[in-house]
Amino acid sequence: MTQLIDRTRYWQGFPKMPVPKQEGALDGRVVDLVLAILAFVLGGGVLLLLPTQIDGESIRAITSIRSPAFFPALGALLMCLVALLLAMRVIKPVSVKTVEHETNDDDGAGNLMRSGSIGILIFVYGLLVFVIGMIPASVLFIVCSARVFGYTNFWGIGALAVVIPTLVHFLFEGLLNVLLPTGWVF
Amino acid sequence: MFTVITIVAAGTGLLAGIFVGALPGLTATMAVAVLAPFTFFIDVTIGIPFLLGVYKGAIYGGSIPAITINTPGTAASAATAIDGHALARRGRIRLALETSLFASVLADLLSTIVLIMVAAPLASIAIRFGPPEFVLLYLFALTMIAGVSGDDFVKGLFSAVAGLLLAVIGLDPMSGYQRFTFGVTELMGGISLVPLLIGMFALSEILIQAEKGRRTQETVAGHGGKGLSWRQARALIPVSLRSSVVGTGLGALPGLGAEIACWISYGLAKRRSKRPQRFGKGSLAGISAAEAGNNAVVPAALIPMMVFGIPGDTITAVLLGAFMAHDLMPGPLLFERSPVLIYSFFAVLILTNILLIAFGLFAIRHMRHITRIPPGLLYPAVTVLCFAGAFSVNNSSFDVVIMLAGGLIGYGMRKIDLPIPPLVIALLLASGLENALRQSLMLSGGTLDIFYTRPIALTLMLLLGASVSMLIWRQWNLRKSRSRPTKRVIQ
Repeated sequence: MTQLIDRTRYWQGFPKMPVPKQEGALDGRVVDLVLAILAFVLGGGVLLLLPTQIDGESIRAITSIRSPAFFPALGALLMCLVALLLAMRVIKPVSVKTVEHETNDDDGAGNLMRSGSIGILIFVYGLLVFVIGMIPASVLFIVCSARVFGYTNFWGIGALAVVIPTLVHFLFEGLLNVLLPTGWVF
Repeated sequence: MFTVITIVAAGTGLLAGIFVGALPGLTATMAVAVLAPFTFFIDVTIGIPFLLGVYKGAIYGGSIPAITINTPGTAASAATAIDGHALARRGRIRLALETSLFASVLADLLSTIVLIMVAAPLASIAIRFGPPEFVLLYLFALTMIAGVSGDDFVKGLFSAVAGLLLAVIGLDPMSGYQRFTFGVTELMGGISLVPLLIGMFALSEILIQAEKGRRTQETVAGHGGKGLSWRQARALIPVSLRSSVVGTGLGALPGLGAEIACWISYGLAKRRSKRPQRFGKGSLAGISAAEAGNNAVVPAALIPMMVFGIPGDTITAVLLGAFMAHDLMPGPLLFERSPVLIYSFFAVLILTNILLIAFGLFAIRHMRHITRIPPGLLYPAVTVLCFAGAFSVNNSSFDVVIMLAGGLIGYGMRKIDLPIPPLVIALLLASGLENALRQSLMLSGGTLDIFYTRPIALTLMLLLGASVSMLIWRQWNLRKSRSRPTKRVIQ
């Protein structure tokens, strides 16, 4: 599902530029709140970690140009400022009236399930690459993920599972002389 | 420097770029990011021309699915789909594709000429820049990128500052102290850029595409009808030239990439047209304007990257990483240190333009069918290439971890409409900004007057002030427009 929201004129006098919006996107106020918390945690976290991560430095490093903590402290303060701006928007939001039109959102949970499955497969593939080796892990990954993407032709999947890992092996190890991860299989 | 292998590499890159650009869901940034590691192990005269070819080919290739199946291959071709697909539905698919090719080649050629004429003189001016001027230039670039990457300046700012914070991981450039390495040896060299980019642009895209699943495409059947005649081509020259100027101007500014140039060129063409009612119904001027606008950006975006070391968009950010991997440090000194190499690259850009005519005509005849490749075959193959590419950069398993983390963060950022380009470009510019800022303050004894007492710095300060004011004004207008009822179209 693709949502195209004609929200604004990018430049005055020019046609409306459709801003692609990802499906399942959260409401603006919730996003602002999450980002404000994240910005506070990031900015505050960096300031709190300064003494342990940069050899006994602290927020006072912001006044010392030569200190290695000068730039991180400056960045952290900037992040706190961004958090403040986001928090202000959460407290005093602009009222957005949205008119919902037709929707054909047929399978929202299924979509998330599919992307979750691919995410898990990619993670497992990342582990297997170093356990059984790049080539066999790639064969397994292609066979499993092609089905999750909805492709069911057995011969097509089989051909891809042979061709791509072989091509990658030939390209990297044969042509570019770059060793790929090996494991107990290959 | 300029050998047959260079030409073959540029041509192969161009063909690969058109192929990737023509596949819906594979973006130009993704193509350059995934293919960049392959070039690190080959000679610079082969690797960089290959990547330049991929960049150029992918931007053009995006127009093929935009016209044939009404699905832009890249975001830069979104405006092309309006008139291109309308014309294709009327049975004139070949005319639409040839118009797109004609405008792309013309715009690309003009923009390349501007690049060749402007880059070296600008570099001779930039060589006079000191640390304060560079601080202001970096801040100007970051402000523009944060401001125009999405539709929310504060979110862009969040992304840019997050990029600056990520960049402090590693060793302090002046004292050599460890910063935020958490005892991990692999982090001492900082966050590895290319694996992070592969994760943020390619893996996150794969996750987003996984959500979409299988879908039917609105394909246009038929032989394609007649092509573009000389009379029609001549009539399209003025609109293509105007859009090329727009694309070149916007491309040379940081942050304003091909995605924005295509819409502004299209809008301008419609406003200046004697028959604006034809736009949206298959107007050749509409296709020309959109395609000339986005293709003119490609060479122009190389101006800030080569002259100042500031990438204009995410693709040039990846290219900057590739230049650095080949020990070419973009900046004013690049033209002094490697003039032959740089002018060889310019020659490659002209050459790929000629090749684009031949490859484009080939693509029009044969490549429109590749839009039918099922995602179930495409994305698993791309994922394998991502892993191989990320690992090969430093032969390090930690880079694979960075890529996976980048993929997860990129996916999350896309889900909440947080722009990725400011983070990536801030990460790239942070080191230069930190050095220039600390050097400036040391020169001035800790006072800020160094930023407005030097003539070039003062000019840049005024430019920065103007861009910040413009962005605040734009944000104000956006908030006002958001408070009005908004029509939401869900397809």
